[in-house]
Order: sequence, then structure tokens, then C-alpha cells
Amino acid sequence: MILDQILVTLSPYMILICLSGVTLGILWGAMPGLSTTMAMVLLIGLSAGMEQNVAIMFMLGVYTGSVFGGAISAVLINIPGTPDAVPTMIEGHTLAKKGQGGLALGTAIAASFLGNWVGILLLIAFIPVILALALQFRSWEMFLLAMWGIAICGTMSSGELPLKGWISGWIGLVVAFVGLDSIHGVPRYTFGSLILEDGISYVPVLIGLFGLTEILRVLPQKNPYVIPTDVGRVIPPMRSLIKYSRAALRSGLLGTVIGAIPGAGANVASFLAYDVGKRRAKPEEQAKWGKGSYEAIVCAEVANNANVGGSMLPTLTLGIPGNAPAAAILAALELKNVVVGPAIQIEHPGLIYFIYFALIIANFLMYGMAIALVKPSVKLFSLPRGLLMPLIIPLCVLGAFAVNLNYFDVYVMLGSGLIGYLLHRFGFPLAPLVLAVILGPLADENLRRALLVFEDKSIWFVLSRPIGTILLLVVCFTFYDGIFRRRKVN
Amino acid sequence: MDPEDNNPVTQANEGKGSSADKEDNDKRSTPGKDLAASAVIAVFAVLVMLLALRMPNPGTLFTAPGLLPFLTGLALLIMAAGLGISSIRADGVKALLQGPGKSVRDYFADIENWRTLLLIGIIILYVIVTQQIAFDLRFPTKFFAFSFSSYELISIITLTLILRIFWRATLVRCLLVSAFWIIALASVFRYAFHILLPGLG
Repeated sequence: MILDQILVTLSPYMILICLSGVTLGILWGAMPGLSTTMAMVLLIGLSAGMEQNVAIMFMLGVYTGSVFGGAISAVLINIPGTPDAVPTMIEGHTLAKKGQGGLALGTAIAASFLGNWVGILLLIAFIPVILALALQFRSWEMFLLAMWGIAICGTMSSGELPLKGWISGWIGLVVAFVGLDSIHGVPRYTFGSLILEDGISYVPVLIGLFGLTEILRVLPQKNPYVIPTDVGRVIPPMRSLIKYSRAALRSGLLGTVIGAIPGAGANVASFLAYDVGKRRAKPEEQAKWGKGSYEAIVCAEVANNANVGGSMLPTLTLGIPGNAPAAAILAALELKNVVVGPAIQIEHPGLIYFIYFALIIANFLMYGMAIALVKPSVKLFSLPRGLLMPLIIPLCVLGAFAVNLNYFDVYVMLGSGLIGYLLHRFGFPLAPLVLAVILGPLADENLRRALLVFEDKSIWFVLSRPIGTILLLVVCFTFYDGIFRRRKVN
Repeated sequence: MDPEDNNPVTQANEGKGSSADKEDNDKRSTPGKDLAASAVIAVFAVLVMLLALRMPNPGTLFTAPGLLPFLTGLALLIMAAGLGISSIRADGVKALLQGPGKSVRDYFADIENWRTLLLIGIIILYVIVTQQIAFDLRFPTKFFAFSFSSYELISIITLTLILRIFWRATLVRCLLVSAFWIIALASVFRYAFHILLPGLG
């Protein structure tokens, strides 16, 4: 059965389909304002007309390609295609401004390739263990994980003022609460508006905060920065890959496990790996963090790509999507009458193997295509900012509108861009705000569920859950460390 | 605003360029600005808490819809207080009392800020007009029906204007670039992905 699936995935037609998916994904992800989630959502309808295996191959190709594609715009124009590309943006854009954009992207590609492999291999080898570990994350643990993600993002993106990063994150939480609450259906912060009852989607917020804010920041400058057109070396030297292999494995493990936790997603994974990477790095490498560190790029990219494989695990075995793009794959499978869940191996024998081999093929093709596209991308994105930035404005409008075909989202994008510009002028980082808008509903729902479970129980019952207790300590340490670091700097 | 604060080229050239978010945060922060920001955030936090308290609660306290919003508001208030205290310690009050008029004057004295305000105005107008004006012209041929909607027209005009101001190329060049880009973009969305464009397109 496994051999049959390998042969199916290796047929020239399937490889061609996957290649077109990967290419489309990379180009889509590289366009500022167009996200992985949007690509996957749009493809659900398109996949309906395809044969089942073709649809899966194409969608996985787009998924793998667009996750990496987000790094191209992040490194070259400081606008991440996806929230998980923010750490890559922080490090890679600085390197691009120094004329090392090619190598920064090459490192990101190698790390993405490695991350995908780590994710796939860990899954194939340890499916039961990872699933068992992931299922230990119940409401309380999910709440703490979400809060840890926001806290870490705040700490990592705000330089020596973690307080500002946390404030930005907590403002994002308030934005996430807008809409009907998920347990009782009570409207929150809607002020009687029916449109607000649907809540605020994170996609227009992301486009506004990173896309529009960057345009407002860069375009009016008399002498905006330039990205050197000389690409230089693209493929990183083998010795630096060996040097970062430990960090890559650690980040891959983090990315896979977090991907397997339903709802946590690549966003949390890349920020956690970025934070853990900094703490474990050698002092001389630590000093480069935030100023253009290749090791930091490796940590973030390995983690968010390992997450692709990880997110497929709960999607296929439990029918619970690990993140939004995985939910789109689930929807596409349902259109083909494939109901995923615990009985998938009985009802659709071989499908899981097919999906994992498709991921492996997509990974190889992604590496090849990405390397081929680095030089044209650098050339394209090194156009004068006065020409390039205006071209992104209609993309931002289209990108915000196309996800829900709702013009209200365009206003959300506009508002987010203006608020982002204001926050930027006052020195507040924007990444925690976006992450909190994504993780806010998860945190809210799970905290209230957990409190219901803990009702009438003693504190010892809460502390008797090892993962929850470890996470609680880690969250407290993150806040303590942030405050302590600030005082030390003062 | 000190142009050096916002000029990544300078930073990169000096070999100390750092991240887009991380690098500039500390430089853009001044005690006066931080104090003003902390006051605004504190007011916002109090509003968040008050509205959370007014939310109906059909269940117990543990499942109250306003529980996490209230706690979030409280945390924001504490953080705003922390930011406020640290900026007061760094002579934020003095800077704020001396500064408001000067800050506003400095802001409007910088031509880049005028250009930013102009850009904001054009983008706001673009977003509003795109929603308000809606038409879709169809040009059926024997093989294919071409469309041209209000989105394309408004986008081409707006983009030409922005390019003319900020790219400073000739009007014809700006028009050609915008027309090519917008029609290509609209075609991909409309014909390849079958997605409606804003307006009626």
C-alpha cells in the first residue's frame, strides 16, 4: 500500500501538478498582502473540479510554497506574507538592507527545506507519541500556550522595552474580543453593529498593520532605503548549516509538536523557536539577534515549516485542523466526500501515506523553485521604493476584500494601517498585536472552559497537571524576565 | 522628527542596522511620548473594563463573556501605569509639558510628514470611492467576455496619482505602469480565481 502511494505521487503528472502548486504558492506568498490562508481558501472552490489526488497534491504544493513565499516579501520589503514570517522579517530585512538579501533568503530556503523534513520525519516516526503529547493540551494548557505566545512575541519584538510589546499584544486581545462570544453568543464591543458581530478577521489586520503601515512609513521618505540588486551568494555554505544544525533540530521539534496542537499554529511555533533559539545561542550570536542573525532565521523558518507537517496530524487523525490552511485542506477533502478523523485509515486506506509523500515531493520542489526564484525576486523587490510601494496599495485592498468578499474588511485594513503607523511613531511593535488578534479567541474560549472544569476544585488540582504547571511557570518567567531585563538596562 | 531616526540606509551603512520593528522602537521612544501614550492607553483600558462589566452574563462568573476582556483591561491599565511611572522617572512630565506645541510644530515643519498626510488622505479617499462608485462594463467577443469595472478605473487613477507624486516619473509612464499592473491584477483575480472585485467587479 505504501509503495502504491509512492508510485502515485512520483508520476510525472502529479509532479507537474505539485510543481505548479508550489510555484503558485511561492509567488502568492511573496506578494505582500496575499496570505497562505487566503490562497488555501480560494483554492477550495478550484479544487472541487479536480480529481481527489490531484486536488490534494495541488493544495499541498500551494501550502508548502506559500509558507516559504511569505519570507520573500518579509526579507526584501519588510512586509510578511504570513504572521509566522515576522521573525524572519525582523532578521532578514536588516540583512537585505546590508546587501545580504540573497543569502538571507537562501538560508531561509534551506531552513524551510530542513523544517519540512524534520516535521515529516518526526511525524512518520512518532505519530502516536506526538499525538498523545498534543492531546495533553487541554483548555487550561491551550490558554497558557496562547498567552505565552503573545508574551514572547511582545518580549522579542520590542527591543529593551518588553512592556511596550505586551501592551501592543494586549490591545490585540481587545480587538480579538470584538464580536459574538463563542460560549453564550453575547455581543462584545459591537456597539449594536451587525457587521462587528462577526468579529474582526486577522487577515485585514495583518495586511493593514504590516502592509499599509510600511507604505506610510517608507513611501513619503525623501531618501527611502534601497535593497542592493547584487544578490551575491544564495546557497548558504555547508559549514554554517552544520553550525546551526542543533538549533534547527530543536526548532523543528518545537514546530512539529506545536503544529500538532489544534489551533496553536505556525505563529506560536516560529516565535517560540525564535525566543528559545536566542536563549540557547552563544553570546556572540545572541548579540546579533534582532540585528540580522542567520541562526535566528534558521530557528524561525525551521519551526514554521515543521509546523506544516505537524498541523496535518490532528487534521487527518482527529478531524481537527491544526491551523487555518489545514482547515482549508479539510474542507477540500470534504468536498471529495473524504471525512477525515480517527477512522481515516479504515475508510480511506493509504490516504495518510499519500499526503505525507505529497508533502515530501512538495518539499523538494519548493527547494528547487525557491532557489530559482531568489534572484528574480531580489531584482524585482529592489525596484525603487517610490515605484514598488504604490503598487502594493491595490494589492492590500484586494487582499483584505477577497478573503470574505466583504468591504468592511477593507476598512479594517485601512484602520489597522493608520493605527499601526501611529503605534510605530510611538515606538510600539506591531507583531504582538497581530498575534494576539489570532490567538485571542483561542485564549478566551479555553480560559472559560478551563475555569468551568476547575470550578469547586482546589488549587492543587490545577497544579497537578504537569504540562499546565510547566507552562504557567514559563509564562511567569517570561514576564519576570522581561521586567528584570528592563531594570537591568536602566 | 529627526530624519536619522527613520532612515534605515544610515543605520545599515553604519553597520548597526537592525530590525524594522525592534531597531527603531527604542529610538522613537521618548519619555514625553511614552507618558502621553500611557495616559491614552490607561483611558482605553478603563473603557474596556467598564464595557466588560456591562456585558450580560447568562452563566456563572467562570463563563462570563466579560471575564477575559475585564482581565485584559486590568492588565493593560497596570502596564500603562508601569509605562507612565518609568517615563515620569525619566523626566517625562517635564518633556510632555514643554513639548506638545513644539512636537506639533516640529511635525508640520518636516516635509516628509506632509507627504505622509497627503498619502493617508489619498488612500482614505481611494477606499471610500471604491466602495461608493460601482459599475461593471462588459465587452463580449466571440470567445470571451472582457470586463472593466469601477475598481480598475478608480485604482488606475489613484495609482497614477500616487506614482506621479512619489515616483516622480512622467505622467504617461505612471499611467502605463498603473494600467498594466491593475489590469493584470484584476484579470488574475477575476478570470483565474473567479473572485469578485470590490465594487461590482
